[in-house]
Parts: sequence; C-alpha cells; structure tokens
Amino acid sequence: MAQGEPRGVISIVVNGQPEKLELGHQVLPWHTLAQTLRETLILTGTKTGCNNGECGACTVIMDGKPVLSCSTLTIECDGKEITTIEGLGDPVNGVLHPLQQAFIDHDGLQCGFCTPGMIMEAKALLDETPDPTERQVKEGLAGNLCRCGSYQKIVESVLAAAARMKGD
Amino acid sequence: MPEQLSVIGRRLPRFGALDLVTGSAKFTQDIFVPRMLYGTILCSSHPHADIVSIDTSRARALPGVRAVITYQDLEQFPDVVSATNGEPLKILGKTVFFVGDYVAAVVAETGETAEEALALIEVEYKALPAVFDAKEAMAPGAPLQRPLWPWNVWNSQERGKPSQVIDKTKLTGGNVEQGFAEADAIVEEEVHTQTTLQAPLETDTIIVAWDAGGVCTAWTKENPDTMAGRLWPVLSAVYGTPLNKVRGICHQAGGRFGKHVDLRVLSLAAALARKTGRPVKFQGLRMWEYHWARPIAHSVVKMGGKKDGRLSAISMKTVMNCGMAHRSAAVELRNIGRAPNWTWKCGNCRFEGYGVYTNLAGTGSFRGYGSTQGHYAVSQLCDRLIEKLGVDHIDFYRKNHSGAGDWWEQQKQTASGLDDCLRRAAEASGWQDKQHQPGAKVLADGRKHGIGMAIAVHSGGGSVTPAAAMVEINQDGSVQLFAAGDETGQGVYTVEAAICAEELGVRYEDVRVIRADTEGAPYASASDHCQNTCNMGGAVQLAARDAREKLLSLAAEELEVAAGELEAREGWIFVKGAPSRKIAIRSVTAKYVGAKAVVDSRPIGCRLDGYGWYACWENVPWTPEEPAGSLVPKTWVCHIVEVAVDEGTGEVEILKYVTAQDVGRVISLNTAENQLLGSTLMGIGYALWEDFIQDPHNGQGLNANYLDYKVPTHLDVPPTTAILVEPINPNTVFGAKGIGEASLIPSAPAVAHAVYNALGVRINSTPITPDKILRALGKVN
Repeated sequence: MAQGEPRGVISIVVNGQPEKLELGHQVLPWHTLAQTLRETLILTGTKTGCNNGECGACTVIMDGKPVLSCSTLTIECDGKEITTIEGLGDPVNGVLHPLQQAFIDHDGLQCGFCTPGMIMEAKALLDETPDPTERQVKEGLAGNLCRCGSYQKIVESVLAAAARMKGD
Repeated sequence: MPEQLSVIGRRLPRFGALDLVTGSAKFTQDIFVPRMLYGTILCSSHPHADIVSIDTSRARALPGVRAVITYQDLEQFPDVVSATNGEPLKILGKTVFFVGDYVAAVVAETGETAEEALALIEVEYKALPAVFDAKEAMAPGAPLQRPLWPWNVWNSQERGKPSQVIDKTKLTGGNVEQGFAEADAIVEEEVHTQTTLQAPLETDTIIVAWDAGGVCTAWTKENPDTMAGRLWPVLSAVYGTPLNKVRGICHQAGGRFGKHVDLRVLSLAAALARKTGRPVKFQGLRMWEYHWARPIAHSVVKMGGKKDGRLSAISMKTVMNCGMAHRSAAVELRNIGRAPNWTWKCGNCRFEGYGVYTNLAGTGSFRGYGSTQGHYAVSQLCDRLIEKLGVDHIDFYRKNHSGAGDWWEQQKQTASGLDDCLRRAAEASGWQDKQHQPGAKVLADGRKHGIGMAIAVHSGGGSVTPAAAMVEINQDGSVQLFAAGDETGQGVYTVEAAICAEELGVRYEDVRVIRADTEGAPYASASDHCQNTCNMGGAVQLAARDAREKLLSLAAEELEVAAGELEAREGWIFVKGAPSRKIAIRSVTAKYVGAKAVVDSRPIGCRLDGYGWYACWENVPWTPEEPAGSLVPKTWVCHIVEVAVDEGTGEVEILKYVTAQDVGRVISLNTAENQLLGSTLMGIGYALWEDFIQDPHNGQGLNANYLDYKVPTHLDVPPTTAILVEPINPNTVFGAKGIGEASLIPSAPAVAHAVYNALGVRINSTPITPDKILRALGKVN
C-alpha cells in the first residue's frame, strides 16, 4: 500500500481475544486469514497444506461456520469471531475438548498435519449435528484430506466425541 | 528381555498426540526464525533447453529482494549426487531437463515479493530436442540426456545392456529356458504402472540459518542425520564446513511416504542464507510436489508353470522412466527385480531392468519402493497362470512362495508369515465361498461382482544402516530418550518410547523422546525401507539395557541381592521369584542420581544413562560363506478384495477389503493398525484413481494438486479389515518388523484381479479407471 493512503483497522476476535490489525501494515489486501493467523498472530496450529482450498488442513471456525482460512482474505474478516485449534480446549486449565481427547484415545491421526483442520471441521459438524451417523461424519469431513489414511480411526474418534458430548 | 511384556503390543496413546490435537506441534512449516527471508525458484518453461542468456537485474532492483542466484553464481558449487546412483546433478545448470527444472532462485523480505521478482527475470532459451517416453528415449536417434550414458539408459554404456540384472540361477544353478521348456502352461504379457505422487499434506519445507561460528542449521522434513550427511559435501566443498557444524532438526513432518528433501533446493537455501547473512525459508509449493515421485514402469513378464501348480520359470524385463534423474535407480530396480526372483521358491528366475532418462520430472522413492511396480507386474501374470493351469489361488501361493532356507539375494531367508496371511485373509473375506467364474455373478442392483487376491513381500526392516540411541534416567525416575528417528506419521517415537519403557522397566508415560536434532542425539537411521522399528528400535533396546544394568546394580545394594536376581517392570524393581521384595525405581534414582548424596560418609552420586549402537549384522550369526538367517526381515502380505463394477459407467466400488500382513511382534497396536489401514488405502488410490498426468508434448505436469490428482477421501474408504499376523522375528528387537509399506503393494493387482473376475476382461495398466474398463468392454473407442 502506497504511503499516504488511508489506513484502517481490521477488528477480529480470535479464540475470545480481540485483535486490532492495522491495514497496510499488519494486514495487506492479499493476506489470507491463514497467513494472518500463522504469521502475524503466530497461531501455527492452523496448517496450510495446499494453500488453494483443496485439502481442508487450514479449516477454522468463523462465526460458527467452518471456513478454509487459506482461501479467505483477512480484509473480509472485519468484525468476525474466529476459533482456531488453539482456542478449542481450555488454555488455562489444559482441559481438552472431547474431540481432542477422542482423537488421542482412538488414535485418530498419524502425522497429525491434517488434525487441527479435521478437528475444527468436526467441531462445526457436531455443533450443527450433535448426533451424526457414520455417513454424516464421512460426508461432513469429506473435504479434509488425510494422506496417511487414518480415516477409519478419525470417524471412530468423532463418533466417540459425539457420544461423550451427549453424555452417553 | 523381560519374560512378561507390560508395554509392548498394547494400545498406547501416540507419543506427542497432545501436541498434535492442540496445534502446538511444530512442523517444519511452523518454524519462523527472526530476520528470516523467503525464497522461491524460477522454473523452466522448456522441457530441454540451453540457457542462452539470463538477466536478473530487474528482479534484483525490486524493493525487498535481497538476492538472486543463477548457475553463474554457483560455479564453486559441486554437483549434488543422487543417493546411490552416484550421478552428478547440477544445483542450477546451464541446461534445463524438464518443464519445472530450476533456473534461478530469489530471496526477499516476503514471499509475495520473491514471487513478484520471478516475473522480472528474463531468460533466453535455445530449445533442444526432448523425449518423454522411456521406450522412445532408448531408440536410436533419441535426444541424448547425459553424455555418460549413450542410449539414455543409466549404468549402460552399450546399447542393449540393462542397467541391472538379477539372475537367480547363479545362486540356484537353475536354467530359465529349461524351466519354460518344461512348463505345462506359459503366460506372457506387457503391463504398465503409472506415476503416483507421495502428495504429503505438508510440502517440502526448508529453513537454513548460519551462525557466526559457521554452524549451518537446517530445519527440514528429512531425518536430520541423513539430511546433514547429504548437505555436508556441498558445504564442505564451498565453505570448508566440517560435518560437526551441519545441524539438522526435524521435530515433526507432515508425511513423507518416501519423498525426501530436495537436495538442490536445500543447497540453494544454504547458499542464499550464507550470501545474505539471513535465515532463509523455502516453503515448498504444492505445484513442486510432483518432483521425485514414483516412476512409470513397463514390464514384460513371462511365467511358466506345471500342472501341479508349481512355477517352473519367470522372466521379467522392466523399462522404468526415471525422468531427468532418479534418486536411486539402483535401489528401485533392485526392488522391482525382487518380485520375480526372491518371492518364489522357483530357481529359474531372471530380471532385467532399464532405468531410462527422459525429459520428465525426476523420480524417486515412494512407499512400496519398486516392489509396487514389480509385484503388480508379477501378480498380473500369476493370476493368468493360475487360471490357465486351473489350480487354486491359495494352493498356488502356498506352493510357490519362498520361505525359510530359500535365497533372498545373497542370504538365506528366515520363515515367511505368508501362509498364515493367506489363511486368515481367506477366512475373513469368505474367499472359498465367494469365488466364481469371470463375469458369472450379477448383484441385485445389476452390477457385476468380482473377487480378487494378490500377495507381496517387501522389506520389513530395510537396509543395513546402523543406528544409535541414548537413554538418560533422572533423579525422579523419568527418562529422556535420545533416538532421532524422524517422526513423519509412522509413529517412530511411540515405538521407540514403548521399546525403551519395556526394556528399562519403566512405564510408557515415563519416557520422553527428544525430538530429532543432530545436536542432541547420536546417529539415527533414516525412516527409509521401513527400517526405523528394527534399527532405531534395536539401538533403543541396547541403550535401555545398558541403563537398566546400571540401575539394577544400584538396586541390588538396596535389596541386598545380586543384580542378576532382579528384574524391572513398570517402575518397580523386583527380586525374581519373590515379587514382594521390591523397590520403586524412583526411590533408587532419588538416592543415587545426581552428585549430591552422601551416604555413610561416602559420595554415591552418579549419572544413570545408557548407550546403544545397533546394526542388523551385529545381531545375526553369519559369515560370507554361510549366511545363516536373513539380515533384513521381510514382511509378507495378502490382500483379498471384493468389487462391484457397473458395466454401463465402468465405475468400480470396493465392497469389502481384507489385508493380512506378517508384521512380526506388534510394538504399538494402534500404530500398527493405522499403518496397515493407511498403507492399504494409499494402495487403493493407486489402484483406482491416482494418476499423475504429464503432457505428452512437453512433459509438463498437469495435475499436481488435490483437485485433479485424486487421493482417497473419507468417502472412499471401503469396509476394511486389517489383520496383524504375528510370527515373531528371531533377529530383531522384540521380534518386530517394519510394516508401513507392504500393504500398499498388493492393492492394485488385487483390485485388477477382482475387476477381471467381475467382467472377464483384463486391464493391463494402473489406475483401473472407468474409461479403461469401458474400452476393454468395447463400449468406447
């Protein structure tokens, strides 16, 4: 951005924390939300696998809906509330979200690179469909690739978390 | 070894899982170093050309650009050498060999500026004739790729001479021609496998930083010792850097599947970091992820068999398209050639392999390295021969597969677990009842039903690379394990921690593996050839044993018995046969570890540690004259798959999948299951969908992305049963094997046989796509 152009502020709430990001400095017009999260706010839990909206690794929750942060411009996010993997559990007392615990208990991961995106997508799914069928889990997570092929144990993890959240 | 196992074989939580589910794990991509610059590469738009001129002045003048280098800046740099071919490859050359070859590198304050600068570099090329098909490249008059190889065939100075020959008859005294002459049935066919991409989710990311003392630190996705060993010759030649100043770090890699760090990009990052005095990061681009993928192979296989179902001869000739370079054509061809040779009892076997240079992207190792192409080809012919001879599949494989006492290269094999795999896969799939004549079974929805079986064998412990590990026990009884196997998702840290806990007698959760860093750990073997479980695990076991002996000698004083009377388990030390006489390990360490305790007026503080160095040849009795027992374990596998095929659309649906693999002793049950399931699914991708397309006119990759290159998703997972067959391996740590690759290998042939069984037509190439099926059915041209 050339000198003298008007500057503004992008206000977002990330994991409950209000952030004011200066346009033209911290946020440039082409910055993606993934870039802002990872490189400006140093929340590297959000991964970029393809940087092109194909793999789902960068999934975060924005105003309750899952979005691909690599394909979302930060300047579009003014006033939005964003949850990343870092905001899912309780950072103060270390209590994990049931999904996080289920992914550990059921080994729903191998290299773990897809895991933050997979868990965020699953969180959005369970928020909308608290008692999903196996098919609904597979369809809900179909845009999140796991090249290690841990899919069976991922589905097991999500179903176990759903059961636990219902209090089964 | 403890008599009763308390950690090994259990459902252990993955080491580091908490970091992965909370986003705190640091993948290479997540490393940001202060003052870091961002690098990118200008790639060639020509498949084969000389660079006539290159003008970087406009790029250099762009604000934010800190350096631009071309081949002219790298005159002092040695060629980098592919892993075992020993073939020189320029980091940046005056000639480019494929669309995407490296022409210039830029570093800038931001990635966007570096990208922008690429467009400002002006290159004039003089196009040279190019060739993309391996067989065309071998023909007289084809454009020469390397002066060293006059007909474009690696390791062959003379037209017609293969790159590699594996002639089993030299060991067995057999005769291939005679074997065919004695055959009751002979089948012969040419079959083809495609290029598949490893396509790990994390791209090949590299960060290099130099410090004032001349230490070069590289964060990569590679095993740190392997990386340092490969980068060091470059740094040594140019900067005089000794190996102890090349530091490698890899805390967590987002999958590799055989894909190694690109040594040319790594060298460029090191050169640019040195030139600018700033750390440099190359964030690999998805569009580069097709470099060093699995090479295309064309195999002509001939197989003869007797009426009783015994193989009488096998010959195979494979032409492998290396592209502009191969990371190790020697190893890949050797592995392809294992399929027609060492897999079988039959002594009349011969393989010829040709590694051919063309103007496609370079190729290299990928899970199932070589065995994938080799077993696909051999299996295609087995299925035909079984049909022609009219014998039973399972009987055929039982009679013919090699096992204890049979040759595997220069060694005699240990027992094969294949018979158990065949039996259990057949039981789980209902094989005996579900077989039918090709094309004979129609499902209620009108689709055709088919069932197919294939077997394979692959290295289950890899190469003979030695490895080392260290164990340190703290005064509170907790343990650090320095064992720098690179964690790429295969679960090596989980396996290492389990082995350490079992051998030392502590709880699994008491062991913390220090993530791979050459600065903290002794030499580690790379996670190639499935060798980490056996090699790193072997070193860990010896290190833990060393520390345990010291621990028990201290406990012996406390319990007033000889150390030999003691055993350690789950954090306690017991007197053998008198388990009530015990002491907690933490009580021993609290008293002795550290340099402060004075008991009865004497200082007793000590360090409590252990060191282990493992090489498989140290563990097996053998001499060159009498190689008793195989140095490197093999893992056998059987797949049985049921499909439904729609004759109208050519679509294949997998109804049921069974994989049974001879895995040795299971170390971590979750990890083992996940490896089998993941490997099988990757194999299903290669069987049905994955196909890297290169433009026949210029070799350009057309689908190096996840939209057009179809990897399996959640919706593509068939109902799969993974059976862990556990014959304990006599020569390895707790009887384990490396298991992560083999279950990829029989997928494509098993699916191909099932499709044949459904339709009665053979598809001779992978992937088995609807268009090929419709063509085979005569429904499209």
